[in-house]
Amino acid sequence: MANLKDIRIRIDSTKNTQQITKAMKLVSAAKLRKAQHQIQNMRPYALTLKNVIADIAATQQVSHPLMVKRSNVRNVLLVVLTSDRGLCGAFNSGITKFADKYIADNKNNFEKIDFIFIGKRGIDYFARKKVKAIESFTKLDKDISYNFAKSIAENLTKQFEKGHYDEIRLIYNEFKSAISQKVVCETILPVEIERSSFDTAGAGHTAIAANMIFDPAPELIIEDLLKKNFNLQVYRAMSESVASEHGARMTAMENASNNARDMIAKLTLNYNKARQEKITTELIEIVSGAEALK
Amino acid sequence: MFKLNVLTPEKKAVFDEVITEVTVPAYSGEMTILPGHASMITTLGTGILKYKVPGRDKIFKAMISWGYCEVIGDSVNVLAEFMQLPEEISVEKYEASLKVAENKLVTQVLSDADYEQTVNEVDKAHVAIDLVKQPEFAKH
Repeated sequence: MANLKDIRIRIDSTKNTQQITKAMKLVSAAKLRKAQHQIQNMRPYALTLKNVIADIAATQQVSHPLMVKRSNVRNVLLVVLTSDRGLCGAFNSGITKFADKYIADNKNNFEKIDFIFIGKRGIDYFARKKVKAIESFTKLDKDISYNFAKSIAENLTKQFEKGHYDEIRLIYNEFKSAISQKVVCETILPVEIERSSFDTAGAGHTAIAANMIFDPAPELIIEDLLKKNFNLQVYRAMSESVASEHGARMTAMENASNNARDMIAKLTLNYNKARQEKITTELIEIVSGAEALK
Repeated sequence: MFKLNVLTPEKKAVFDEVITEVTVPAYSGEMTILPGHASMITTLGTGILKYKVPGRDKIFKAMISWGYCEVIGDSVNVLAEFMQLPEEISVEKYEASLKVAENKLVTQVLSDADYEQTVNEVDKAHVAIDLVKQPEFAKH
C-alpha cells in the first residue's frame, strides 16, 4: 500500500492536469464556434460561384484546360493539411496514416509524387520518414485568411498549367460535426464541376437566359471564375481542417477531463482506504499494548 | 427598383437590398445598372461599388477587388473576392504598400505574374486611398 503522502501528491497533480484539459476544452469550443461560423459564411459564395461556372460551361459549351482530365496521369502533387499543435486525438495521425497508405499504394502507378505540407505536425512526421516536401507552411489556424489560401492556390494553378503535375490532390480532415471528422482525399485539379442540387442555400441564382450579354466573352469569364473557384476550394479545405482540428481537440480534452475525474475518484478511494488502515493499525497497537500491561 | 446581393468569401455583405441603382467597376469600365437592365454577366476589376437605396440620400460605397456580376431579371448578384468598407480601410497601410509596390516596379525586373500582382496592388491602394480621402471624387 502506497503511503498517504504519495497518494495525495498524485491526486493534486491529476487535479492540475484536469484543470488544464478543462481550460483547453473551453478554448477549443470557442475557436470551433468561430471556425464553424466562417464555414457557414463562405457557403453562399462558394455555391453561387460553382453554379455560375456550371451554368456557363453547360449553356455556352466552353471548356478550359483546368477542367480537362489528363488521360495519362504520371506526376501527382499531394497537399497534406495537418495542424500545428498536438493534443487533438486522432486528427493528425489519421491524416499521416492515410498519406502513408496512399504513397504505398500508388508508388508504382505514378512516376512522381510530390508533397506540400501545411501544418507543423505533418512536416515533422514526414521529416522523420525522410519524405521531402517541395514547400511547407505553418501557422494555418492563426491567420487563416482568404489571401493566404489564394497565394497557395495560385501557385498550384501555375504548376498545373505548366504541366509539372497532371493531378493535384488534397488530403485533409473534413468537418462533419464537433465530434466527428473524416479524412478525405480530394482531386482539386483538374476541376470537376457539377451543378449542386441544394441550390437554396445560396443566394437565389437562376439559370442563364439564352440572350445573355457576356462581357468579356464566356471563355474569358470562365477562365477567371475557374481560378477563383479553385482558390476558394483551397480556402474551404483549410477552413474545414481548422474547424476539424478544434472539434477534435475539444473531444480529446473532454475525454481527458473525464479520465482525470475517474482517476481522482479512484485515488481518493485508495487514499481513504489507506488512511482507514493506518487508523486501524494504530488502534490495534494501542489495544494490544494495553492488553500486554494487564 | 431591384434587388442587390453582394457575397464575399468571408461574409454575406449585402443581402436582398432593394436599390434604385448600382455602379460596378466592370470589365470594360465603370458601369451603372438601372432597373430594367438586360440580362448580362461580367467580371469586375478593382474599383468602387456604389449603390443607392430609395428614400435615403446617402450613397453606399465599398471598395472591391476582383468580382463577378450578373444581372438576371430584377436582381443583381455580385460576388466580390475582396471587399472593404470605407471605415475598414487603413490609409496608412495602403500608403505603405503603395510605396513598396511602386518602388518594386521602378527598381526590379519582375516576371509577368509578379508584375501583374504588383500593378494590382498599386491599383488597389489608389482606389482605397481615394475612397477615404476624396469621397467627393468617388461620387457619381
